[in-house]
Amino acid sequence: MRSLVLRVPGWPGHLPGQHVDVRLTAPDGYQAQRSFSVASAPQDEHVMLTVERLDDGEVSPYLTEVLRPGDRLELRGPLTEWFVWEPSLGGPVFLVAGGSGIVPFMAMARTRAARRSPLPMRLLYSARSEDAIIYRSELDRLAAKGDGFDVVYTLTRTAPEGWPGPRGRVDEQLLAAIAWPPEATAQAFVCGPTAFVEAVASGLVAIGYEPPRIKTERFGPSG
Amino acid sequence: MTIKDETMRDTDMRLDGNVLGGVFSELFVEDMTRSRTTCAACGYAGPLAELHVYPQAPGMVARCPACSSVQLRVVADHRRWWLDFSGTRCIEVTLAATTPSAGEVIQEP
Repeated sequence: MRSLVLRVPGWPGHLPGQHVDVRLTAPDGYQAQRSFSVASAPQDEHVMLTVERLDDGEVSPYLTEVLRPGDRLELRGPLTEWFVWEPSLGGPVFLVAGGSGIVPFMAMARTRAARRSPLPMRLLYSARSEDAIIYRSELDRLAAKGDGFDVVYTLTRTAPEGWPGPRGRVDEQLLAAIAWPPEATAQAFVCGPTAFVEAVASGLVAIGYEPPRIKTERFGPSG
Repeated sequence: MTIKDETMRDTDMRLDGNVLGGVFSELFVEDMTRSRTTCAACGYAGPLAELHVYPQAPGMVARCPACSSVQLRVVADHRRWWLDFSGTRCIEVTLAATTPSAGEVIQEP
């Protein structure tokens, strides 16, 4: 996992949750392109992308290991107003992240904090182990403010002795315990690997969320 | 490899229609992921952002989330685009609420 901080002259500003397409062109003209969510908040000076390295990927090994400060990247974006939340869209908000699916939610949480929004936002974050939780200290700091943002981590593979939070995959039971009740008409966002997203979206429908209130962003393993 | 394995792998690799935002941004003025498509096969209408996209093909193949029929295909090379919307009966595009710019005449014609 690597966070890239980019200076993008003329960046038009983005909405929390938007993504960019990164295109790499080889000397022979071969092109590969992938989408990455923007992790930074719109008011931040630079654009931050957090990239997970996939061993057999075409793009992510380059971005995480080869790229050096001063190198240039071809970016397209910010893109689409679909998987987007900002305070004007209201709340409460329920975010469910699997692994690196946390990235667009960082932009949302950072924006909420920067704008001092009082709208309730709850994050359920599924990670393999405690070490695999990205942005842990920042998330804990945001939650400690007690201003309506809270986070629950669930560990799916290994949990340390005395781990206070839930263990195991996000299922209907965990969603029922953590999510805002359906009557709260929360907006739900789910981001992570495809199988994770589909299981969580089905679980949300099962506990009473209306499908139009659930937005999904699948991260394919094609990095 | 069994057929079952292949099916499972395909499902694991699909993305949302939202990922088409970039390629469409080169061709259309509006954010097409906000548009609604009607499936030519089953009549399901929903946001383009929620189609199931399989990016491993030479292009991008977007299937109906309700019936899995191919709704659209997008293939590009360096200078050309091929868009196959034959699986989409209708596309409803909502225009973004843009504020018109104020123009002031500063010189007589």
